[in-house]
Amino acid sequence: MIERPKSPQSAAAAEQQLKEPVVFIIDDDLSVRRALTNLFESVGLHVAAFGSAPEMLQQRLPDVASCLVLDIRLPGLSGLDLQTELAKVNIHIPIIFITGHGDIPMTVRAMKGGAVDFLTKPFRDQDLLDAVVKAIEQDRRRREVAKAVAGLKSLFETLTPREREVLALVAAGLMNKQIAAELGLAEITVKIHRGHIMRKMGARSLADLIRMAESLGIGRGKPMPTT
Amino acid sequence: MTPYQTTNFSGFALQLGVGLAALALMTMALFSLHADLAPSAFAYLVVIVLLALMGSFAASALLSIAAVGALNYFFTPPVFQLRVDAAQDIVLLAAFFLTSVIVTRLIKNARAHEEAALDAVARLRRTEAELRDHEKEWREVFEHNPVMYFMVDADGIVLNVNTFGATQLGYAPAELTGQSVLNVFLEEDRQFVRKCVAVCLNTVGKSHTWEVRKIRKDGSLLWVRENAKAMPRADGKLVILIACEDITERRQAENALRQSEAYLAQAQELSRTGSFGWSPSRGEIVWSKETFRIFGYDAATKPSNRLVFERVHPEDRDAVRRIIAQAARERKDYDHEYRLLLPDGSVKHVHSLARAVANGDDHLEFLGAITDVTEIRQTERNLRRSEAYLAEAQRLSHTASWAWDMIRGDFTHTSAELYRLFGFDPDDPAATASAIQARVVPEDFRMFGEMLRRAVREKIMRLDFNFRIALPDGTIKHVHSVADAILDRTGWIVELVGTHMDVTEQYHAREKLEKALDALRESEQRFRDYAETASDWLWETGADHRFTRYSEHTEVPGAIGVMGHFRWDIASDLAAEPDKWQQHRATLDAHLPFRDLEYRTTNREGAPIYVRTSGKPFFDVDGNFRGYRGVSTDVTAMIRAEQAEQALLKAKAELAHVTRVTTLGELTASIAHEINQPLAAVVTNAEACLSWLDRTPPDLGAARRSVEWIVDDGNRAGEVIRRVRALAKKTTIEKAPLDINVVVTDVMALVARELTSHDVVLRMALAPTLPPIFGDRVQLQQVIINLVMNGIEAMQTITDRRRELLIASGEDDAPGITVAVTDSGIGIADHDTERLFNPFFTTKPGGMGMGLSICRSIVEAHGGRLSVACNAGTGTTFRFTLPLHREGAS
Repeated sequence: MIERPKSPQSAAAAEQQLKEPVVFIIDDDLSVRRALTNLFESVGLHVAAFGSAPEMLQQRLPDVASCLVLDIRLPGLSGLDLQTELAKVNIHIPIIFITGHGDIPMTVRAMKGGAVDFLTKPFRDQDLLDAVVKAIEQDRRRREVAKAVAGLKSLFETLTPREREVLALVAAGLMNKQIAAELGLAEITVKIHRGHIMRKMGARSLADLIRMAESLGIGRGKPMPTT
Repeated sequence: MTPYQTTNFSGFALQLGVGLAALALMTMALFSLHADLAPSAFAYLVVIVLLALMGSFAASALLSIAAVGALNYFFTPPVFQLRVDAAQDIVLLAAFFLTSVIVTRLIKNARAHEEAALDAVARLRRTEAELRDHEKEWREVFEHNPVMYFMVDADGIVLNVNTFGATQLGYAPAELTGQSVLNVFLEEDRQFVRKCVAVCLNTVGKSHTWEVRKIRKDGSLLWVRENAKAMPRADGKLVILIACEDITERRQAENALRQSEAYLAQAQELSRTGSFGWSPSRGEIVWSKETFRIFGYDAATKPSNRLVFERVHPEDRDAVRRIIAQAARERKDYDHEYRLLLPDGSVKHVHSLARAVANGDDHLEFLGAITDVTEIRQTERNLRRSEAYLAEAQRLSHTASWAWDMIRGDFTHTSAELYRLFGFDPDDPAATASAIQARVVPEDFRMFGEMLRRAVREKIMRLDFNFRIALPDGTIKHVHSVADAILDRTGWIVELVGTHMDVTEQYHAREKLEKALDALRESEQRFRDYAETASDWLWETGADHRFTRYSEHTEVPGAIGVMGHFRWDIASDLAAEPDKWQQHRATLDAHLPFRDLEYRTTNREGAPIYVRTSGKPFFDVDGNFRGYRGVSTDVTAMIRAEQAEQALLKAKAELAHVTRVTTLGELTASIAHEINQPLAAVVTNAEACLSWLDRTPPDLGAARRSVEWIVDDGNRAGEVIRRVRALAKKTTIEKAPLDINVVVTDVMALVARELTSHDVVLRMALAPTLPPIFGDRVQLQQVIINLVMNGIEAMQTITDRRRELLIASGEDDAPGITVAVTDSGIGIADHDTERLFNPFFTTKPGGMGMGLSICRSIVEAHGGRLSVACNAGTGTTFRFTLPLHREGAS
């Protein structure tokens, strides 16, 4: 169930809202769910609250920076199960677990599963707000990086197989001469390849190119990124 | 032959004419050519020979002569003379003549032969056509004569068969031809057929006849009479010609006749009926075998009227004679019954029936049947007698017999007593089955249906039941009935045969007896009461309230040594209950009667006892107060029992309380959670509320909503606390009308978290509306908590299936309500199910073993029952029932 502010919203506002970060809440207790929604909305965050994990999984999650506030003990699909489930479908939403007293083993599991934070009840509301803000910021950054990498990947895909081989060796720190020997080419040919690579990847300098290759995870001995 | 001659003659004339003309022309031609003799002769010869082909030799001969003449006259020198000079010319002429005659003769002969041959051929053709016609006619006869014809060779192979013959046997002729004729005979008859064929072959030309069965293609049989004969064929081989005639119908008729004769004889014997024929005018009598037997004569004797009368019983002879004589005179049928006296002294009853039949020449004949009815008369007599006995017996014993057809729904037999039993006259036409049924007391009549259904269901063959009859005058009759069921082959009850016995008198007698017994029991009770009362003792006190008299029961405790004392002197609870004594003394001083004063004292042995006493003042004739007289009873045992019971109740309540608190202890985590959740929400909402207020401008609507939620959550926490306190409170039992569903839902609020944290899914199946029960809310909640906690624990080790707890409530037949708690856990071993409720029995390592024992005692204290059952699948169901709350019940 999504708790929404009571005032009716125009479609444009809803559209605008989608661009802004969203806090997801899953808690089976109506009082808690209601209170958390109230708290986040009072500081101007958008909230989508659910009574159980399956309810949330049925929704299509908006492509905006978000985080999930999750009670570790949920009836049916538990918080940890949901964490595993989300990881399985490649959804990297940061999760803040709310744990009860004495849930240490579960907490450990949650952290190992990549939870960004956990708060033990009773917690201060400010701590929760801080954690949420931090998690959203983290998600936003992750999204930016992912976007940048996606751009590099599309550039990388314009390279010919030979150019990719050359790039891998450049990224590994080999000199032109060494590369030529490695690939059985003339040094001048390697230079021409490099020029093409620089131009295609839009690299301003060699250092820039190497950084790009690192972002793409390219290097000697490393597997080539699949295209 | 005349036309032939005419033809011959005209041929002759024609040939001669043509010949002469031809010769004349030839002569002219030859003469003008100056031909020599030889070539002319040759030319003539050619003409004659050609004409000879026309057939007449005479004409040819004449033409030859004419030709010789012409040769001689025109071509032999000297010409124009019939003279021949040269010898060689004569030779030539002679040769010519001879050649001509011989050649024409030869031609004639050849022609004659040819004609004869043609004639023969023509005749042959005619004969052939005639033959063919004949054959066709015969074939027609052969084929369509309604007789089956077979032609077989010596080996029995069919050479020919007519269509009729084949069709009769269901074959086409081609199917039989070339096959062995034995194929159309039955296997068992084939030997016979072979023999017949052999006989025919041995006696060629002689006809033989036999009857035999033939088998059709479809397997059916027909009887045929065969007429066969062997005869040699042109090639010397023997063939057998067989003509058959279908005699099946005749055979069948014969068989039927034979059979019906046999049946008749059999029937006569079985029915003990003989037949006879009697012609009065000729004095001829014909008897059947059975008639001889009836009259006791040998079948060889010749029957006569004398023989008949010899056997007729002397007392009946005149009557028989008269009837027969009258029938003969009036030529009428007769029908009478009389007795025979046989030589061995036995008497037979016979029934004789005869028809008068007039034959052609006005000759009268009687044809009749005589039946031995001795046994029938005997049986009838016996039946009449036993019926009379039965009726009498039924009348005397008030027993009616009947038979009831279940299908038609009507009586198939009723005895007169049945009608009397139901208050009808046996001959009353109004006494129909439905009229009889209408007199059964309706309540009992309904029972019949139920009983029959049960009888069918449980295959009860004998029904034994009681019912009542209400007569129109209001009399009630009690009936005892016994009936046997008669089944058809499918096991369905088709008929009931039974008796009704009027047991009204017995019933009343028993009722009277029971009343007498009741009276006896009552008086016994009365005397027992007296006797018990006698164990009380009587006392008297004087005007100063000191004991003056005491009934001297030896065993009365405290009776010794009380004389002259006040009651309060001997009591030992004076200090404990001063008010009671003060009031008592006031009553005494007012000279009022008192009842059931209980006080403590000591008996002879010094042991404390309780005494209950009542007394009333007595006065002398002048109305002066003289003292009190009264009765005292030792109620120590009673009071002790009461005290013990109360102590037990108290102990139980305390134990229940202890376990309840223990259970609450176990629930601490859950309860804390239930309280913490709303409290956390309160704090968070308050925080949010502040945020809303801090906004510029402050969002007052949101702030108000936050505060409303705070109030809401605060109440929720308060409610949980109230429930826990109620459970933890040490209260006395307070029973009140309760809705069990409310009790259940109240409890579930406390244990919900416990279920969640143990991964147990809760299902509630509460009946929507239930009548109230009467009980103690806290104790019943304790029972439910206990059962739920047990269920959770039972599922603790379950990992392979859902942990599910079902709580259901519903109405019970008792009437009451039932609550069932079902888990899907490990279940309970059979031998443990009853021990479960024993104190200190536990299957849990950490259990005290008191929970279920206390639950049971709580439920039983509410007048209900707590039971356990293992489920068909997995797990266990604990179920308790509670009686309904009745208005006015305390």
